[in-house]
Amino acid sequence: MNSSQLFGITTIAYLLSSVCYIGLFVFRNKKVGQVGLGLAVLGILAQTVGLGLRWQESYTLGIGHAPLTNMYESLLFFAWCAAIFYVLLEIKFKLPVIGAFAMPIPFITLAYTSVDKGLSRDISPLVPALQSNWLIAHVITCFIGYGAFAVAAGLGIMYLLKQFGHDRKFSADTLIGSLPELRTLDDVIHKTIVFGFMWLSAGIITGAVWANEAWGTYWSWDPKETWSIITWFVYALTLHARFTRGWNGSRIAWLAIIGFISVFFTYFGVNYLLAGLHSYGSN
Amino acid sequence: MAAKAKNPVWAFLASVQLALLLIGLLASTSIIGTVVQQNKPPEHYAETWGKTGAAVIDAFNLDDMYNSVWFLALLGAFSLNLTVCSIDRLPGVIRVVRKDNLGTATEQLLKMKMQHKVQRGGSVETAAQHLLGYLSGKGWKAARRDKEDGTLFFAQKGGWTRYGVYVVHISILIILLGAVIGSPTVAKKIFKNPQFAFKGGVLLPELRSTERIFSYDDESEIPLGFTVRCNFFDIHFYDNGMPKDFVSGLTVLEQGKEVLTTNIEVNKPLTYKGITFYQSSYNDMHRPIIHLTNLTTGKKTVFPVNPEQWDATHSWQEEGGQGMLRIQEARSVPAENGTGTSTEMQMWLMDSQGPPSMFPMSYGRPVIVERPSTKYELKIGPHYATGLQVSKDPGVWWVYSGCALMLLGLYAAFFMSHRKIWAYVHEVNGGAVVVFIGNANKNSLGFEKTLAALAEGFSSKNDSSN
Ligand code: HEM
Repeated sequence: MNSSQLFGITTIAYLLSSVCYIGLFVFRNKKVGQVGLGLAVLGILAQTVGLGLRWQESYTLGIGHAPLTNMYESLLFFAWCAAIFYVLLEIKFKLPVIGAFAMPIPFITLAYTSVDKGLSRDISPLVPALQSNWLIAHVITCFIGYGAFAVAAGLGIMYLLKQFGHDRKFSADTLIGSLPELRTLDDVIHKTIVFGFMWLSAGIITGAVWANEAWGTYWSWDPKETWSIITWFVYALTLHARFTRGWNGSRIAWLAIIGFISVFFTYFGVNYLLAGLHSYGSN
Repeated sequence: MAAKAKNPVWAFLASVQLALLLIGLLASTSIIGTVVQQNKPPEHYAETWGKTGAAVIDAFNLDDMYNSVWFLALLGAFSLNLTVCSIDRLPGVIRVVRKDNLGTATEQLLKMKMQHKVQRGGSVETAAQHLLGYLSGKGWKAARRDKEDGTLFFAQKGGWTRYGVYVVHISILIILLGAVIGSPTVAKKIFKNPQFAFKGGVLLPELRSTERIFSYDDESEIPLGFTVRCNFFDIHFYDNGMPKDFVSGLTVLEQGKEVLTTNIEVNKPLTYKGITFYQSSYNDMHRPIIHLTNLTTGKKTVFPVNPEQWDATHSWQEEGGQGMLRIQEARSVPAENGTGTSTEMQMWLMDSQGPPSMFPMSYGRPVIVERPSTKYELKIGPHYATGLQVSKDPGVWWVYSGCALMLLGLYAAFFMSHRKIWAYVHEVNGGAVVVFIGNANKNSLGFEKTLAALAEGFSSKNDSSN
């Protein structure tokens, strides 16, 4: 079995896991939720082996580097981080309904990697600038943070849905009733953001050290760096608004969503949208 | 106690509202510089954004916005806000950390949410003695104070974590300070000493040396205070043609004496006397150069070829004597890839042992020359100039220390808490009763469990010892 077959299995496992969690959300059947967790863990195991194999394949090709060096590999790693983060969150907070909003994230990410034909799946050798252990530390730290922020945005959407039902006095029998209490959700969103913020900070710092080793400048305000600091500011704002101004509930839920949009932009937008803007602009 | 009325300016500068406003402004204005390309020639802006757009960009310095006065002022206001806010709040935090927790009134303690009562029996003094040993066995070093209604013990952990937030805030100031210290602009305009911090580069042909480099800002010359020589430059490729590494051999000389010889690569710079040399680019000088590597000793020697006198003899020093080599013949042949021409040469090489070797070789292709005492790798290829970025940033250690502090501070602020335990021993109906009371500024749920276990442990120990 090779790594892409394993990633195929992983995609299916994440899909089925999402379906089970959505089943739990809709039908409130606890058993289905447990199957969802089992499938998520299975997917993570398959993906872990897959990533390990891809790493080994790179050594067989005589290139030998961790599978973290292009868009395809980083998407795989992102999905892996988001799935693991969600499973740990479920173990800690015992709120499996969250899975209905969290597990689709790794599924959609992996589905995207197999649909987008423009994404190179080759294991290619590293150009000199990328041959650095700081790069590995940078990618790992950033993506743990991104995984957490993705789940926080999912939680934010749950919060807003729950509140929507609450405001309209929907009865507890409706779908809204299966969602956790607003206060619980608010607490989990906050803790998830705190966790992500720690890792994002570490990610920006390791990135700066890497840049300094490779180019002699730890910060040069290039669009990617700038967007990462914008994201960092958005979450810093969120933490302060909550901690010192007592913001909570829907405002924090919105900020969790806005924060993730900023993450998404740092990750994708800078590569595709801004590059596009520049290339249209300069012809 | 009447609170001292605060100066409204001070209160404004210390406020979190201002912080939210400034962080929001920094985040939103930063977007502009990712959409408007930075540091392009004026024509670029007129073409991309039209005449009006270009005028706006010019008026607000959006073409170099992160160095513009208004953006730096925003960062300055942010730093001021952070400083004033910390000065304003720190005394309060110090008071909380240093608080005399044994002085808290018993009634007040007994009103706290987190508490567990343990019936002990026996005298208060025996219970108190046991309790002290028990707590210290569990890692809680308790202080004691006897009061008229009983005896109070107090122990705490993680008081310092209350400073975590301030460590984070101060770390941000340290990072910004490091950025100022390392800024070439500050060095030039404020310290009037461009040598203090600079960023520049130099294109150094193989075998040439330099004592100065050129600033990126204004191309002005900056003396290094020593000499750097490029011994060689080399590129290696992967099989698919992608570059694998760029290597420059550099030697540092002080007053003509070699003090240091090393190879640098991308991601492996050389730092000497606070000045760092990074491999950043290279240039082909369109002249040939001979690379000779003694494969036994690893010693590399290069000989530039003068196109007017290409058949000159080159000599080098070997351990056993002198070595010599010469291009005897050279002729142009069509290049293998069908475009342009390449050169075929007939070579002559001799070292201290054995008869001379004579062999053919072609331009750009290394050959191995076997000699009685050693082997050489010989290559004739383009004479390169290595492109070095050279910078001196005395602020970088401030930045790095600030970053390390920030991570420590964040960890303390987010994941550690200040936990307090009181144990109040008093007499009820002739027997000792111990009330365990707890308080944590974060994760109270988790601490509740710790306190319950502590009380439970004491009550079962109590049973067995009777
Ligand atoms: C982007 C830069 C900043 C970062 C990364 C940062 C970081 C933090 C963190 C991690 C916390 C703890 C929050 C929590 O436990 O949930 C905090 C709290 C706080 N921050 Fe900041 N901060 C920043 C800027 C500022 C500024 C400019 C001010 C100026 C007023 C400020 C004022 C405060 C205050 C008053 C608290 C609450 C402290 C307490 O009462 O314990 N922060 N900050």
